[in-house]
This record gives sequence, C-alpha cells and structure tokens, in this order.
Amino acid sequence: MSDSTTRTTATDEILEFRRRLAHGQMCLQRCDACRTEHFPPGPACWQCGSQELTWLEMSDGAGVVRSLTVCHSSFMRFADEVPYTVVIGDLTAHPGVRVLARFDAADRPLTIGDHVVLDWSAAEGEVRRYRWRDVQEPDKAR
Amino acid sequence: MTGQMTMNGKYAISGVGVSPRSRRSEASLIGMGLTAATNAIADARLTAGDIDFILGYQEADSPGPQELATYLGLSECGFYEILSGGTSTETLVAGASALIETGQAKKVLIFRTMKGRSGKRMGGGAGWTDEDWETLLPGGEFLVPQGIFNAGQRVALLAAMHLHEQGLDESVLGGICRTLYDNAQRNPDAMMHGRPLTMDAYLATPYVASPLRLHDYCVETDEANAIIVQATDRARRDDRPSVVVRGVVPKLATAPTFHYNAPDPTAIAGGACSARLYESAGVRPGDFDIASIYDCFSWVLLRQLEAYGLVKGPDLEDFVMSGQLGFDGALPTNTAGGMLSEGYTHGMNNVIEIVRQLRGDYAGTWRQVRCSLGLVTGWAGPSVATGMVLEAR
Repeated sequence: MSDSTTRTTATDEILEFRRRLAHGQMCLQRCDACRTEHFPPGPACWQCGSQELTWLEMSDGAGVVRSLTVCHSSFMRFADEVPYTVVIGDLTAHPGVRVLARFDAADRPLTIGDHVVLDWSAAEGEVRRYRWRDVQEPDKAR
Repeated sequence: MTGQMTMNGKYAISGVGVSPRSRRSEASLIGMGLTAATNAIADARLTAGDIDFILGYQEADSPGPQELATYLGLSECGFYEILSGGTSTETLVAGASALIETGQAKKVLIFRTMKGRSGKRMGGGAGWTDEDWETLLPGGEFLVPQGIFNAGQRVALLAAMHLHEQGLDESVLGGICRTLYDNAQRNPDAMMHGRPLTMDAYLATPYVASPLRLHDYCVETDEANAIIVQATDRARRDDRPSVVVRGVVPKLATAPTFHYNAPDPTAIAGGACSARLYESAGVRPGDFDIASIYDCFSWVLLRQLEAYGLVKGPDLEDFVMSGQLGFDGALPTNTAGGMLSEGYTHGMNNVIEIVRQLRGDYAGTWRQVRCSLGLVTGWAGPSVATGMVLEAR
C-alpha cells in the first residue's frame, strides 16, 4: 500500500490485547455505558460511541459455527498451508460476540451449527495463537 | 436519511471510452488510460482542451490524473484521485457533479487504468505483504494471521453464512455465472466471449474458497475505462438521448466496518444505500429496465438483488435460476457479461455498458435491451455501498 511506515493496526488496544493473550488471557471489551461486548477490540463502542471500555476475560471458549470456508488456494506464507479451514464462531457465553479463527482439522466434515471451542492455551509466549477446535476431538495440542 | 440531494438529471454522462482489453497489454498504463480518455472525449463530441478536471481511482497500481492531463496536452487541469476499488465510479460521478455545481469545473473526465491481470492482480494480493493487508483491512489484526485477507476469502465466509441462513443451494451461484456468461456471448469484446458456461461445468470446477469456485470470481484484465460528466443542457445531442444522473449515493458506510461482528452479518450496506437512492431519485425498485450490479463475485451480485429491493428473498433462487438477469429476463443485468465474464476495472466497465444501452448504441442488434431507466450499484465490502440511477432523456 501507499505508506506502511506506520502500522495503523498496531493501536493501543491491539497491543493490550496481545499483552493479555501472551499471559494466557483471551479478552474482549465491554462498554461501560451500554454494556455491549466487543470483539475485535477498538478505541470506542461502535454501538453508543462511548470511549469508556473495560477489558473482560472470555469466560470460556464454547461456541457454535456461524460460518466457515475451506481455502484451497492462498497467498504469501499461507500458500503452503492449504487446504485450511477458517471458522466464524458465536461465543455461547458472550451473546453477539464472534471470533474468526483457524479451525484445526477434524476427522469429520464441519458444518454451520456445529459446536466448537476456542482454544487459546497455546498462545502463551507466542501471541495471536488462538484456534477453534472440534469439541468431539480429544485435546491433543498440549 | 438525508434525502435532500436531488440531482434530478442536472448532470449527464456524456461520453464513454475504453482501451483494448486483454490478459496482457503491450501498452503502458498511461498509454491505455490515454486511449480510453481520448475515446471518451471523442464519444462526447468534445476535444481534449475542453476537459478542465480529471478524477481517478486506483489501488496504488497506476499513474494518476496529473500524468493523464499532461499527455492530453492540458497546460492546466484540476484533479484528484481516491485510493479505492469498487464504489469508486459512482462516488466520483457524485464528486464531478459537486465540482460542476459549485463552479469549479465544467467538463470532468473520470478514468481508471489497470493491469489487473499481467501487473498487480487484486485477487493475488497485488504483491502486498501480511503487514500491508493488516493495515488495509479494518480489524486486519484479527483476520490476516488466520489466513483470511483477499476478497475471495472474505466474501466466501459471508456467502456460506447467507446461503445457509436463506436455505439456498450453492448452485444458485452457478446460476448467476451461467447467465452472465450467456450475456457475454453477445459481446465480442468480453473475455468469455465464445466460452459459454454450463451448470455441469460450473459444478465440476473445484472450490477456491468454499462455497466459491473459479467462475464465482471476476475475470482479471488489463484495460482502461473513462467517462465524462458535464451539465445535461451542454451535453444534448440530436442523434441520441442524454444519459442523465437522476440520483447518486456516494460511498455509504454502515457499522461495524469489521463486518462479521455486526448483529446480522449477512445484512449489507446496499440496503441503507438503496433507501437513500430511491428516495432522492424518486424511483421504486420495480421501475428499472436494466441494471449494472457490482459483481466482483457472483454472491455479491446475488446478495445485492435482495438488499436493493429488486427481488424478495424467497424468490431469489427462482429469479436467478430462470435466467431473469439475462437479455430476455425481468431485469437484464450486466449485459456485457459483467466483471464475471467481460472484464474488471472495479466497476467502470459495467457503468459504460449501461450508458451504451440507455443511449441505444446497439439498436438493431441482439445486444440492445429496450430500456430508459437503469440502476447502478457499487460494493467495497459488505459495509460500503454506492448507488446511481441513470435515465435516458
């Protein structure tokens, strides 16, 4: 793009999100004024405009598949990873909050409406590593 | 709702021009742009010296208006350009109208030149890095590391959600592709001319990002397009109708911009955009004889049909599968083949086609649709939309 000397994405909120994730906390933000919960994090509540937001640790990762795609072709470093599945999941404990993340391969075809769980246990010391997993799959990642 | 912006045909698209279209142009970007601009100027029955303002759009992949002005031989020329893809043409038509209305310009040329196939390919990321994508995309930090960045991957997630929630079979996407490829068979300049598509061939093609297959992606091309906007009374010609802008809505954003966390992620900005557009233009969605609907992906066209009020949700599948987007259908759409099968300049080629149709340029041939009122839509992701109503007068 035209000028990438400053990364507009590296906002205070993102740095704080990463810092918390590095300590094993997967966090969203809650608006102090209207109580709406937000993910991804940002500088203000887009529902009511309040800039008073409080970090909130996700209570657990239980979720339901709202959408998914299997990428059979990709670019950059992702070209070597195809095919890969990406899920948008609704978090059961946080209504209205969705997380988009890679889904680690299951033995069965995944469909919309399936139960999944967001796992951020491998994030410590390696920021930005969170994944949807199949709830029927034994946890082999640890 | 603003509603106060009543264009009511004061400004017209008085000329259109294109360069040759190919997968690999031997001409330079500025040379292609100059060809399209020169053709548009001639089509408007103007000379280059009449142009006093140039507007452009690009994605950091082309020279700008000031360079074009130089090679048009203009010693002075106003200009600006926007860093933007889809929704640019309508936005710049609104900009041109405002410039003329406020006395800052009289004859405005709008252009796009790109080597979208042999040069920087949008679908391939135009050579951008992870960091570029994260900067470019709202909420990119939460997309790109997961392997979601290019338009096809982002649209695929919305398409899968929408098809599931509406109970639509994915063959409906093939239905859109088949009809637009059929439309392209009447256009010798379309990339897919001579290459009609059957549903069997569509379904036999593997996924790129499910549920999207190769044909669901627009066809990348090297080409340049140009149009000219001026006051309608100065653009009148005896031998053809003027194509006037009856209403236009430039880029409209609906929140949130990181769309998958909207209360209803399948809702798109086209809904709010069309409400504004139809009120300001004084039209209803059933009034259109022809449409130019942004079709970077088949699903993007499908979704807009409902959002712009053209087809009711439960009727979508029947409407598409029975060929209503074709020449003999209820709403001939992207009659040159669209970006799915003609070529791709982020929307301007579809606008050029609808202008030609409204003027009757193809009269007496099988390419002509009987039409006097047309709808143009633009898309720059689900939360950014444009719209324009064009009328032959």
